[in-house]
Amino acid sequence: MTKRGINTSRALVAACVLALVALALIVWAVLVPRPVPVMLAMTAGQLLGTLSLASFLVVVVYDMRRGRGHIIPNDPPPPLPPEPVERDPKVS
Amino acid sequence: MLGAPFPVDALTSIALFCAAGAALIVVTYLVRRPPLVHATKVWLLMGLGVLPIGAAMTGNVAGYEHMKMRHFCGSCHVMGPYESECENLESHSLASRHARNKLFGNENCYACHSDYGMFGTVTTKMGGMGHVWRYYTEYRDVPLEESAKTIHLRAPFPNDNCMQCHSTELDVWNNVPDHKSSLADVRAGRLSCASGGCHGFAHPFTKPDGGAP
Ligand code: HEC
Ligand code: HEC
Repeated sequence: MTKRGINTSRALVAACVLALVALALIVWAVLVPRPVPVMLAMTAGQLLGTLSLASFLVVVVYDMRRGRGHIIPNDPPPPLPPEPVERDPKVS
Repeated sequence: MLGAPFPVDALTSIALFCAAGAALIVVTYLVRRPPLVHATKVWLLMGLGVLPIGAAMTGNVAGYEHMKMRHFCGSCHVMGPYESECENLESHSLASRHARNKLFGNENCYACHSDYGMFGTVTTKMGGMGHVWRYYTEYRDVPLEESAKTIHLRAPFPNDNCMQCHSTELDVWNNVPDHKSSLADVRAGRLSCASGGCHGFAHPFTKPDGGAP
């Protein structure tokens, strides 16, 4: 794994854990429809579920690009071009 | 917005079904940790995408339906007296007289107290979140005798809310002498429908004078 790579299996575990928390909030709200559970499900539940799906999709896209050779994890990153240094003539 | 256009029980079952399916897939993945081949991706798309979205959507709609119920409003103890007063068939308060019909009787708090208009649902929900916040920060331990005296509306109750249902356009309504004489004031909101002298306060038990008409 290089700096440019994503640890896909860790990202997927994170996505799964997020999904389980979000699902638990949704189930709690559905079974106990009182203000706090319902509000939590609609806010935190949505957010965590969205994050979970987003991380899964990122992993899949990353995996597909890697498969097609766009990203080769073992390649060292290309050297960065030297930063152009701006010199202000008034300040020495 | 009124009535229960969505069958809450069916929504609940669908939400639980989707959630259970998603959890099964996700837990299986966590236990087995298969390599990320095509089939794994498809399963995970079901378990992290399709099924959770199904659970969230049906769960949200069920949540919205529950939020309109009088019972939901009564979950905070300070609203309990309002709830039971409405359910008391002996009561003649304006609020309880709006609690008997099939269309919105179970959702009467929402029917009178939600904001109408384009962003009504959103502003009502924002206001409701504010109320829940204040409940947990201020009112959670306040005894009922005290809360009955201190809880009040943030703004005067708008006649417009009554007029969502009572149009003020029909003859029977307009032939009532008090309606006829005060029509302009009522429509403009200068004279409250729910005031002593007119229809009385909607929740007379919280008013020192009982709000008798
Ligand atoms: C969601 C629609 C709706 C709203 C909002 C609403 N009403 Fe009504 N109102 C009704 C219906 C429907 C009835 C008849 C109920 C029944 O027969 O069980 C009714 C009945 C009444 C009655 C007659 C009660 C009786 O005993 O004959 C009065 C007076 C009244 N409403 C005043 C008001 C006032 C004042 C407001 C505002 C504070 C208001 N209503 C808001 C729908 C509404
Ligand atoms: C007929 C319409 C109507 C219904 C139904 C109704 N309210 Fe009200 N509510 C009012 C009006 C009008 C006021 C303004 C004060 C008054 O008239 O009592 C009010 C005031 C309040 C207040 C402010 C405190 C007070 O007593 O003035 C609270 C809290 C409240 N309502 C809660 C509820 C709850 C909870 C329900 C359902 C159990 C409910 N209301 C049902 C019309 C309604």
